[in-house]
Amino acid sequence: MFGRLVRRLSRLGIAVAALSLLTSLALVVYSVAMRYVFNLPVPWVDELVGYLLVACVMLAAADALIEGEHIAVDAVTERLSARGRRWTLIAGMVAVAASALLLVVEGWGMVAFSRMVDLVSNGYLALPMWIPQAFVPVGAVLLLLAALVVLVDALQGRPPPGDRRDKPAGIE
Amino acid sequence: MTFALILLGLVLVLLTGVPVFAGILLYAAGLLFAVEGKLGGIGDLVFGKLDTYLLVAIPLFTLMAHFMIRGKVVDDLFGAANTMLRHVPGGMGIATVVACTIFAAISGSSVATALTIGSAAIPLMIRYGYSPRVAYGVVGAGGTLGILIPPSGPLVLYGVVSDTSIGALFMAGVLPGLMLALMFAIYATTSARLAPAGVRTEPRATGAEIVAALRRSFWALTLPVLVLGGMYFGVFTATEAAAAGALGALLIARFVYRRFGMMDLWLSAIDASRSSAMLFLILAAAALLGNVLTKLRIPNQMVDLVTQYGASQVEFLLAMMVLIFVLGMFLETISIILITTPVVLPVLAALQINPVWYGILLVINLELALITPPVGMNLFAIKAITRAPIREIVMGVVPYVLILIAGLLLVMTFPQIAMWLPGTMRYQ
Repeated sequence: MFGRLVRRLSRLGIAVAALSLLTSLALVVYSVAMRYVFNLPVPWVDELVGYLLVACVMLAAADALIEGEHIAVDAVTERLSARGRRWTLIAGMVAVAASALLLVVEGWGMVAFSRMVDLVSNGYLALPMWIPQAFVPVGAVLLLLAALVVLVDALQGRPPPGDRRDKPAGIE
Repeated sequence: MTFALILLGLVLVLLTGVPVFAGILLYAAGLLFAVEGKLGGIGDLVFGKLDTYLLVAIPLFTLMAHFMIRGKVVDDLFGAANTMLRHVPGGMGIATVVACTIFAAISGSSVATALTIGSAAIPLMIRYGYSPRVAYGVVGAGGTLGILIPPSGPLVLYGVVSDTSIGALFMAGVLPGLMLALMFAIYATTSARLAPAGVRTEPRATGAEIVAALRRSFWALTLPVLVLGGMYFGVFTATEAAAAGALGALLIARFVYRRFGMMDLWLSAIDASRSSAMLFLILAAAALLGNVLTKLRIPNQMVDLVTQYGASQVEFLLAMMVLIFVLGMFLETISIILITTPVVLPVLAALQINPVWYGILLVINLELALITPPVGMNLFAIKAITRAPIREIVMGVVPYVLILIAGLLLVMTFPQIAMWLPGTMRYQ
């Protein structure tokens, strides 16, 4: 029940992340076209694209975890027995949960501070800063939930998320 | 000394197999707490690192490569190269390197290069009598060109972290990349000819066949011209070049090859988002670590150490390259760039080492990291394609490890191999 809800939320997260990325693509193309074709630079695009990247990264993190795409160094752990690997996974998920919790707390502190002092971005958008900043704690909450789901699965002996080695990795 | 201990501790933490971003983040937060007795400012740091316009180039370049792969635009790169070289003994080895070089100019990833070209090249090479080791070696090594020949994800990361022009870095990667490709190709054809049973060749391709092969792969060749040409002539910034390339790839896949639907677009965006999530979380975590190292005055200590010993450029570079080579056997490329660069930068300035040149040396060294065991992502990529024992794959790449080291020393001795092309750019 909890697991299914979290999986749904993380799928929603990755969908918003993918949309943010495609929007960034469209925005950059738009700004290049405006500059060269109409000689009208679009000054707010760079700022917005930066915020969209924060959204993309933070909202995709939980889904990447559930799909087993987070980078880990497994030179030592792959030599372990199945039981050893399971405990490695459990330790790893505890570490991810702790990191996510740290980002929730610190991210929330940042958002609360920005709201308190009414911090506004100093670019052309003059956007209240807490809005883009909120992606950090929101994404971290999703990541925390996802880590707990994978953790519970591992404790119950269910197989870990897919092996990342079989997929083309990011940029390595 | 402190830095050596901190680095050792971090490597030990990461070897436990925790996800790298969590390992670095917790380690850095622990250090911060030990130094200052409190945490704080982590939210702003993470947000500030991610809110970087230039970094968007990485997922956009990833999108470009995904569009080309899903649209099957690059499926025939190896086939086309092979058509032209099939009458040459050992020609398939050269064709593999050529295909890897072209794919490297479309993709910023070495693993994607090895996977894409390898799945076409390895089975065919083995069928034509090449020993499996020869096939694994040339694909593993040829694949590493992905991160040196622009566009390159690691070069963008290094450029952002070191505040170096990404355009200059990309241009500086071109000639060393082509030089290494040539060295790989020479070795590949020689090693194939030495096979005891000999490799089979086919009759020379007819003019019509060559034209047909060129037509099938023509569009894949247009993108590097758009992206790199645009950056060279100062038409595009790195992010804009990536967006233009992604748009170009989308149009080619949709309207020329007509094998690309909305679902492919969506799945490409999801893949690119996932990989940037894991990548940039490591970036944010490494930024916290860099912050702590600065608080501990580690970069200054490095400068003091180097000046105290009166180390020359070459001595320092050699020491760094050995350190990175060793790190590369255990860590993946992204962490190495992000952890070492902030500490090295002040030393580069003190010794007047050009950061563009250093970036290229770093990336050639990271190519080595991709094929040196126990952790070598390209070795794993070949294993994923072939299910061969990792030992066989390692034996295949050993000669290429030596070639890469030779290439690294060449670029170290003759900086102009890297620095000439960016020097001719009018806009930087």
